[in-house]
Formats: sequence, structure tokens, C-alpha cells
Amino acid sequence: MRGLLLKDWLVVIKQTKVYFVLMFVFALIPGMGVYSIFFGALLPMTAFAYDERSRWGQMAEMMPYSPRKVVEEKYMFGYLMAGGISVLEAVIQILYYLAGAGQGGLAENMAVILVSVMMALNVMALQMPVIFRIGVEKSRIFLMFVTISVMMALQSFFSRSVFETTVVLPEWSSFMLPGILVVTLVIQLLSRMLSVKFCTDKKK
Amino acid sequence: MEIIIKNSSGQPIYEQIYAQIKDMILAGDLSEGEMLPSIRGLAKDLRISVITTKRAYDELERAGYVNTVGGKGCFVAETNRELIREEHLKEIEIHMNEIAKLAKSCGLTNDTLIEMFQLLDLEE
Amino acid sequence: MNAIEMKHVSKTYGSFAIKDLNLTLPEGCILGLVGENGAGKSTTIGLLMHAVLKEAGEIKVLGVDNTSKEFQDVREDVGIVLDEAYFPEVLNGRDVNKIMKYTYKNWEEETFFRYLTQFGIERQKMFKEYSKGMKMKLAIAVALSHRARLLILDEATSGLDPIVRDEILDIFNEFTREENHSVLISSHIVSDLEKICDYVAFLHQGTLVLHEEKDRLQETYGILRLGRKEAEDIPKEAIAGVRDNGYYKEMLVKRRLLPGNYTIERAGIEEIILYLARGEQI
Repeated sequence: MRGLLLKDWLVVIKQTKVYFVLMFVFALIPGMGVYSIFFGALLPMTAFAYDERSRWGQMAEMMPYSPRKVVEEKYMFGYLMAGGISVLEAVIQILYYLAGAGQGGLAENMAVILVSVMMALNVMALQMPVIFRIGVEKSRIFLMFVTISVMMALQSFFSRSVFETTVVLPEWSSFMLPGILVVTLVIQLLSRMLSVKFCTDKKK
Repeated sequence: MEIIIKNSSGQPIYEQIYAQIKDMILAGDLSEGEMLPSIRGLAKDLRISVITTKRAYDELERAGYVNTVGGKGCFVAETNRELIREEHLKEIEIHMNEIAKLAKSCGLTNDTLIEMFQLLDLEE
Repeated sequence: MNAIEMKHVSKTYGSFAIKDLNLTLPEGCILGLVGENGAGKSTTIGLLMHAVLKEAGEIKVLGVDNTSKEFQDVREDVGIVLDEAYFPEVLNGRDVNKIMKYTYKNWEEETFFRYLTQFGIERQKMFKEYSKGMKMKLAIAVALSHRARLLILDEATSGLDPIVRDEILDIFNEFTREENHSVLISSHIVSDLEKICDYVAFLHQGTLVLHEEKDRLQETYGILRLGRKEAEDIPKEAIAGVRDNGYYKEMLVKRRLLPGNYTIERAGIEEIILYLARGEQI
């Protein structure tokens, strides 16, 4: 799996340097951090697109990678990317807070990051089986639609309007957090199972 | 050692190898106990099939020209004077047959042929 | 041992079908799989590596059933080069080395870089700037750098210029100097394979029409050209195929079944295959 992760990382970092700068800038802007986390969870799609263009998959299935490994690697890549950005975002928030420039409570902001990353990964989990089934080219519109709508929904849920920078966390959120975590885990597992099934079915 | 494979000749490749190695042994160019190139090595060097090369070696062994020592390689067998003599006799017979055929087609009698042969002898 | 063994393998894709395929490649040999585009060569290779699932039959690669768990280890020992399937194009030789280091247990960095140098590939150059030949060469360098015992090459020589092709065929020839090294190479161009193969298999519309030792083919068959009248004297059983161009008849004949005193010319593998393939249809 390390080989595949390395491949995706090299492909993404070489091809989407601007994208990374953009993610960093977004992470700096209060209230926009959600976007950069979503961007992170979208990176596996970019890797998919490059795989597809070079027909890498045909070679990979003859190399010592099982379908399960191929699937798990793409999820892992998403976790690492979205996770990495989230950590970066958290660090930035803490720095803001220490500098006295933080908006809203630190705990609230952390909770937002946590919910965002989970939601971003759930969007990814929704997309993955579709990609493994029909490929990234054919599912592009679906992917865009799902990502953007969930992103907008989240943003308007946490702030009063899409571009509002102050985060207002609903009171019940502290109680909801463990619930969201459990739901996320279930979604991830189901999605992975489905992806492995689609990936294996393709051989038939 | 020299082996030349000719694609133009109608002779199968394994026969070409067989004949050339056999001739080298009979002529004494390859002496007793000398090691032949490995089957695979020869095949790859000549860019020919391994199977064909193996077939030539098998034939050589069956005819008693070489011995295969398991794991070590293929060696030129003990020279058998009798075998060489037989081989030469066989060849002479083949040539004589050809002569007989040709002689018949232009109506030469056996006596004339013998005369011709004796003349040949004198010249030498 | 056989490096490849396919017994009664079947696979259907809509109207296309591989039917009762039997294919063997003895260890240490080179097998050329020939067939027109769409004959099923790539499917056969997919079936071998368990990238395409068979419907019936048995497949063993390097002695291991390809549906068994141990087959995962066999993949380590098989070098793969596919037509038009490459590494993502933003990578370069150096990246590929790093990735493969974590992919194959037996990856040999030095071997890989030695091949890159030999092939004249700059390590820093991005894949998308490669010519088709270079892409093939990079894939071949990968296939040769993890101590594979079996090379499977799908159309690895197509689209290459003759000099490069010869260079690559030479490498495959050298590869099989080791007794336990085998090669399966497919192409739609017979002459590409003719030079290096020990065995030739011809796939036509999903069916194996021919599977024979290359030199035996040439020993068995020859070309005979005769006037139409003279041709009538040739025994039917000696004729494997006929082409009549209006001036004379060209025949693929079985040498053994032909009485002497005919001048039989040597037939190229391509000619033999063409004649036999057409014969199948008649």
C-alpha cells in the first residue's frame, strides 16, 4: 500500500501545486477552513483521474496489489489528505487564538473542524463506490454536485450565511459529536465494502 | 568453434547444428573430452530456439558423438575409430550412388567409370 | 515445469468469447502469441494474471493455480508490460523507482537505473514527454528489475521503430539465458516475434488455431509454386493451403507427404499462419 500512497502523493503534489497553495490560503481565512478540508478529501479523485488517463489500473491489477489493497489505499489517501489539512487548520486556529485574533471559542472551532472533516470524508465515502463502479470521468458531474451541495449545507449550518465568518455552534452539537463519529465510521466501512465489491466485480 | 546457420537452406536448423558439430568431431577440430557450449548458451548466442538446439544435442548423443554429464554439460565422446570409419564409408556410399545415377543418365558403363577413377588416382 | 498452463479456459464478453483455450509455455522458453487486433490476446493475458475472471477451466502460472491465495506471491515473480497502460504521466523514472521499491519485495534499484541508462532515459524526465518507445522501455525496465521469472508482454513491440524493437527483443533473448526464465509475448505482427520465439500460438476470434514449436512449423511446411496443370499431380493430403493468382498456384505443402524432386521453398512463420488461418475458414 505504501507504494500506491506514494504514487498518489507524487502525482497530486506535482500536478496540483496551485491547489495546495489555495488550500493553505483558505485554511488561513476564518470560516473558510471547511473548504480546504473538503478540498483535501477531494484529492483522491484527482489521483483517480490521473490513474485513469494513463490506464494505470490495468497494470496495477497485474502487480502484487489485491483489489482490497487498491481500494483501501484510495481511502487511506483521502484520510491522510483531509486529516493533514484538518490538523493544519486546527494549528492555525490555535495560533489565532493565542494571538488573541480568534473568532468565537476555540472549543467551538475545533468542533467545527472535527465535524467538517467527518462530513468531508463521508462525501468521499459517497463518491468512492461510484468511481470504482463507473470511473472518475463518467461520475465527474455527480461528484461535483455532491461535494458542492454538502459543502454549502455545512457552511450555512455553522454560520448564518455562506460567507459569514463567525461560527455559531448549535447547543446540541456537543451531544451530537459522538453520534456523528459513530455514523461516520459506519458509512466509511459500508462504503469500503461496496468499493471492494465493485472493484472485484469489474473483473467479471 | 564455428557454426553457421543458414536460413536459406532447406535443411532444418537442428540438422545443420548436428551436421556441423559432427563434422568438427570427425575432422578432429573438436577433441575428445572437450566441452560443448551449453544448449541454452548456444541457442541464445545464435538466436535460435532452445528446443531446436536441444534436439541437435540429443541426436549427437544418440549417435554416440557426445556424452551429457548431468549438471556439468556436454562433452565430446571418446573417439571411436570404428565409428569414424563407418561414417566415412557411409558417405562414400552416398557419393557413389550419386555417381552411379549420373553415369546411368549419360550411358557410361562401369568399366569406363573404373577407368576414370584410376586416371584420377594416377593424377594424384 | 510449465511457466504457464491454461486448460479448457472459457470466457464470454457479449458476442466475443474465448473458447476452450489450451495454452502451455514450458519453463525456459519464449512463446509468441499472435493474433489480429481483437482476437483475444489481451483477454488471455488478463485471464492469466487473474485480472479477468474465467468462467471455466484451469489456469496455473509458475505452477500455482491463479485462484489460490499463494497467487499473490506469484505476482511478485511476473514482470508485466502492457500496451498503452503506463504509469501516471506526471511521474519520472526516479519516482517510478521509489514507488516500485514499495511494490515489489525483490525490487533492484541498481538494475532499474542501469536499464534506464542503457535505454537512454533521463531519470528526471516526466513520463508525458516520453515517446511511445520510451514509455515501453520504462515499463520493460520495471518488468526486468524485480527478479521476475516470467515476463508477460502485451504488444510490447508494436509501434516501435525497427532498431528499438530489435534492441528490446535482444533483451528478452538474454533474459531467457537463465533456465527458469520464461517469456510470453503477444503481437499482431508475426515478424516481430518470429526471431525470438521457441513456440508460436495463433489466436483467431477467441480460438487457438495453432500452438506449435516454431522450427517444427518450418520443418513441416514449405511453399511450392507450380503451374495450374502441374499442381494437379500434388496429392491432396500434402496441401495445407492454396493461393491461385491466375498465373500459377502457390501452395503451403507438408514436406513429408510430398514425393521428392519438387523444389520446396522455406515458408515464413507469417505465411504458414496466414495459410493455416485461411484454411480454417474454408
